Amino acid sequence: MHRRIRGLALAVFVLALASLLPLAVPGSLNTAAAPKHIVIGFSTPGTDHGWLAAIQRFAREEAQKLPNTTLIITDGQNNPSKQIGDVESLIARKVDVIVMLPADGKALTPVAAKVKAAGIPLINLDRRIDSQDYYAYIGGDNYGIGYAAGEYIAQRLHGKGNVVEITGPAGISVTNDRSRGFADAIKRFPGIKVVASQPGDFLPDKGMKVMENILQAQRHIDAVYTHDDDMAMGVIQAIKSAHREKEMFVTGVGPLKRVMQMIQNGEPPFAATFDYSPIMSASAVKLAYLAATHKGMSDLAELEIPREILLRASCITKDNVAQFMKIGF
Amino acid sequence: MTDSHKSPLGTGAGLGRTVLERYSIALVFLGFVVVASLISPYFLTLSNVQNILVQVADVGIIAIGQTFVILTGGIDLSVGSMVAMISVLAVSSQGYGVLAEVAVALLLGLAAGTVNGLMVTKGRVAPFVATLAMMAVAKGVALWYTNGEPIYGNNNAFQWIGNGSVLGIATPIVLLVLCYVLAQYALVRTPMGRYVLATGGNKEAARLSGVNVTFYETLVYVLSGLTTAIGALIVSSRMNTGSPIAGNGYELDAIAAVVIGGSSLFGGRGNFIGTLFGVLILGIIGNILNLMNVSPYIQYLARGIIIAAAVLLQRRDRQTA
Amino acid sequence: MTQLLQVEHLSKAFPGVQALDDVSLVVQAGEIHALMGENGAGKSTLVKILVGAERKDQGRILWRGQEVAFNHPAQARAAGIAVIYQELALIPWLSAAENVFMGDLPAGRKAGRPWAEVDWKRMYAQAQEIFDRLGLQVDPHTEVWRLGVAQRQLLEIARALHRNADLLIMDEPTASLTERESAQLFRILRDLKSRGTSIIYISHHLEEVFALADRMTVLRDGRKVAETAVADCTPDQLIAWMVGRSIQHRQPQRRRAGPAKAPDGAEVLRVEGLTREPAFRGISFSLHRGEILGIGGLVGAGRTELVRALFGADRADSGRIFVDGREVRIASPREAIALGMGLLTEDRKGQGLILGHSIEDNVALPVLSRLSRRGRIVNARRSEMVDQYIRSLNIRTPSREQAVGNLSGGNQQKVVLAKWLATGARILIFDEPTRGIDVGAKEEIYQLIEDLARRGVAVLMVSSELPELLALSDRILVMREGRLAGVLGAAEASEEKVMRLAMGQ
Ligand SMILES: Nc1ncnc2c1ncn2[C@@H]1O[C@H](COP(=O)(O)OP(=O)(O)OP(=O)(O)O)[C@@H](O)[C@H]1O
Ligand SMILES: [Mg+2]
Repeated sequence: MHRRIRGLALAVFVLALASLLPLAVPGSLNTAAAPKHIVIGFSTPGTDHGWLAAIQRFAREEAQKLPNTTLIITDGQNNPSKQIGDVESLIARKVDVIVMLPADGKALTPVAAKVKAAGIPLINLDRRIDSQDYYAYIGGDNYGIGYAAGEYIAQRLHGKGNVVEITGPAGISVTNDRSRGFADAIKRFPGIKVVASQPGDFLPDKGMKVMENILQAQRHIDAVYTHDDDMAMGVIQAIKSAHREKEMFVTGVGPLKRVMQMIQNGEPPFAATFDYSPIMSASAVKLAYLAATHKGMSDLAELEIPREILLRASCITKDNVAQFMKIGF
Repeated sequence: MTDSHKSPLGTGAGLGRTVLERYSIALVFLGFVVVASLISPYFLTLSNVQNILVQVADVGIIAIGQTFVILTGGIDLSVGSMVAMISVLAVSSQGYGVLAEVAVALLLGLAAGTVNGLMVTKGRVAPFVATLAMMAVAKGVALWYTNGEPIYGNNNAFQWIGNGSVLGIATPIVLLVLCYVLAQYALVRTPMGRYVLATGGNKEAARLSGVNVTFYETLVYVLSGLTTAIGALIVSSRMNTGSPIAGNGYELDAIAAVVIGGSSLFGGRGNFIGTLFGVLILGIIGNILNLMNVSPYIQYLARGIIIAAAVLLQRRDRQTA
Repeated sequence: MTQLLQVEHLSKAFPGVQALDDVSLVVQAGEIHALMGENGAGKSTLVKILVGAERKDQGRILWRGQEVAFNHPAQARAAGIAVIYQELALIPWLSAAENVFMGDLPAGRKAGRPWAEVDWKRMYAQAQEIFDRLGLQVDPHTEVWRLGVAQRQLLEIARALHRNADLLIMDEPTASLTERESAQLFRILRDLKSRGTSIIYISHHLEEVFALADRMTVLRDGRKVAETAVADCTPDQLIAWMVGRSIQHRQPQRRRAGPAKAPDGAEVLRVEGLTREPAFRGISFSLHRGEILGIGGLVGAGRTELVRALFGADRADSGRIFVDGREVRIASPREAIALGMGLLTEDRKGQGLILGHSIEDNVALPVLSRLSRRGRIVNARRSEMVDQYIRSLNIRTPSREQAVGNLSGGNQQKVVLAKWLATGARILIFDEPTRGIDVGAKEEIYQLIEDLARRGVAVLMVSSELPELLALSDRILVMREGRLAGVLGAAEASEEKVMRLAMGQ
């Protein structure tokens, strides 16, 4: 009986290992392949969130459009030390270029130095490493998102009203930047009062519960600034359950397709969301390809790609939502 | 003859002591309520009380299964991830109607719980490890199935579970109360409850007394899977979403509630009334932190201190009573 | 003689129990002082208060003339008082030497610093020295789980010696020792005494006390009833003090009328070639209605393993078991119970009881389904049943709600007994039924076992106490090293014959 169970467990384990094999094969094959062939290693921190899942998806789609290119994606399983190992094995495999979205910028700074030492160009995506050891950086503008959201809300409220902020997890730079930008923007509007600022940790269920509690204490709310569309889905659920969707409007950060549909249909309380699209991973893969083939960007005069690209935190409202649909996730 | 052994204090003192012991958690809870209503005028309103009860329903019901497991001296770390897995798979079957969603949820919970239980009993894997593995597997299934993206509900009947009401009382509250009444009844009035306690109190002695310890030890994990499924249905229905990141950290909340409620992590001692108070105390903490708009940076600190205080206050009672 | 320890007017109450009531006693330097009393008289409580494991309500304790109040056994230890409990406190996965030195492992370099290193060489050498002094034939490197009970007991003494204890307190140390091991223990205790160590010795074996102790204090219901030199006292007198009335102290006598009447009763159990390597092999016997079948042999002869396998607690490798003439397979205790069997284990705390649970929960556990109607336990029926056993077995407790862990050792044993009586078992297996039980209660338990047999229950009784084995059994199986060494009828059995079979001479 026990022996049988153990045998079964072993079989499952072996199968699981075997399923990882295909990942290993392309790299080893490609070193021997034609010189024009480009291998891009892409180290992601994990897939515990829709945004991160979309990062992988967009990267894969972009790689398919590129000629003679293989993309190897590694998944750090939300564990910085696992991700360091991932990057080290990409170095060992002698990929042509590495795109890295760190789980934790500080923790992955040392391994960036190793990438540089191995002579491999590193494209740092989104979360910044703590050194200069990257060939190019591309990422969203968290501070800019907070700032744009603050301006949007203040203007829509004509400089006066009660605002609630539902943030990401306390203590990470994304949350800090989005909060700081927001605070800096509304500082100029003394009539805007932030009546509550509470963490929803990017989780829809937590966002819902936190908003339910805030609704108990706040008799009148004009707007809710949330740090994330997914979490905002829980927040609007709480508002709808309290039948207060006419009283206030909500903004998010995404853009989630579903949220854009609601904005397009004018379903209260969602009014706007801000662009932090995971499609930036497609751009990162493209940049990686250009770096590996020593090309610049065709519309620019320079021989090489720019070192820093900060993406625009566009405000997506009913007016312009149609054109953003294709970068939704 | 026992009379000759009565102390001058008599058995009355002993009884008084057990009453205090048994209900010290209730006193701690009352203390919380008093403090919370003093610091926030919104706290003790009918709508906020309803709000808190609805909010704790999912974790509260999950804590029932967790209590069963902990009574046997085990632990179930997989409940949070199982909420995510059940949430997405249940909502994704919405095309077949609300009954299909409920059935998928319950069957998945039972199946995952059975696997946990068999791993622990037949596979002799330590509960911590077995359920840690299940935690990863369930999370993995949820993410793999959805690609990390939520599945939005479009079935109004399904929403009734989380947002409807029975005789004017919100459905989650009704489910919460029902589950607790059933669980406490099973614990004190049925052989099954006593067997679970005996298994946790001294497994070998229970086995030698003819208790089928393998069965009951497996059963508690199955029950945990079942209550997790109910909790997952509530949270999914309330959000009207199958979310692969739902239930994040629920295992810790459930375990904390059980421990605050006075159950021993070594097994053999505890009850559901305690767990319910533990759940309510956790709910109040979350609620009051939000009501008072406490800075996110000190929320962890506040929570930790309050939980430690709740446990210590009970200990104090136990010793000085 | 100097007074090492003085206890003055000590009192202690637990809810519902006055465990100690105005007890005073004196222990002289270099004496062996026996502490006597029935189960629940307060002996262990007195010891626990002495070393700071329990708090006293009233009274004073003077240690070398100074008033002391230890908060923790470690403080008592530092002051020179060491206790050895029946449940030994050793760490099984560490070596014998480490256990001896646990708490102050000898440090080499950087001694006294938190990051000091253990001086292994010195530790093993010193341990060897102590072992030699004790005549303990154990390699200091051996991990403790490999050692037998007796060796562990001596290891505890070694631990006390290493700390230079002036007072050694032993709470029922011989309960699980063979006679030869006890003899060795006594030799060591006398030797310690001659070097000036005092010993408080608690035991229910009167002979031991008379052979070993210089003076004794007798407790009854928490009160001191006598403090005397052993030489001035007789066993009968001692028993009278302990139980509060005079009963004749006698070796248990063969009380059952006539010769072995076993074969008249129908055969209820037959075992053929039962084997579980390496514990026992090829065991065959039969047991009849109304018969008491004793199993004798040295500790380690495989008797406990045999009855556990019979009861389905462990799996047998081979052999056949017949109940009422029909062959049965017993794969679990549940199946054994369904066949009408019951097992009172040797280790009541580890296997017989759930210490944290009430008397009620413990007694009712195997019969809960019988006490339920439509899946619901009928509380009234349960309490009534439990109360009845508390009365009929004389279990000393304020109520059935009392946690079993709070009962004295003898009363715990009675709870186990009540549990099995409640199942109405037809085949009862007793493994060392009177271990740790006082003289009065022993007599009660003998009577109970005989009553059971008279009512037709078939009894299988493992016992290391020869007098009780001889007095109760209709026949005696003697085991040696896992084999059946012989069977003796009641008429022909004697201590000498049993011992000869047990030792293979
Ligand atoms: N922690 C406790 N709580 C309640 N009652 C207790 C506790 N400890 C001991 N008692 C009670 O105090 C009395 C004395 O117990 P104690 O263990 O000292 O007896 P003892 O003389 O050592 O008996 P035995 O020979 O059976 O070991 C008993 O009635 C026991 O039930
Ligand atoms: Mg005792």
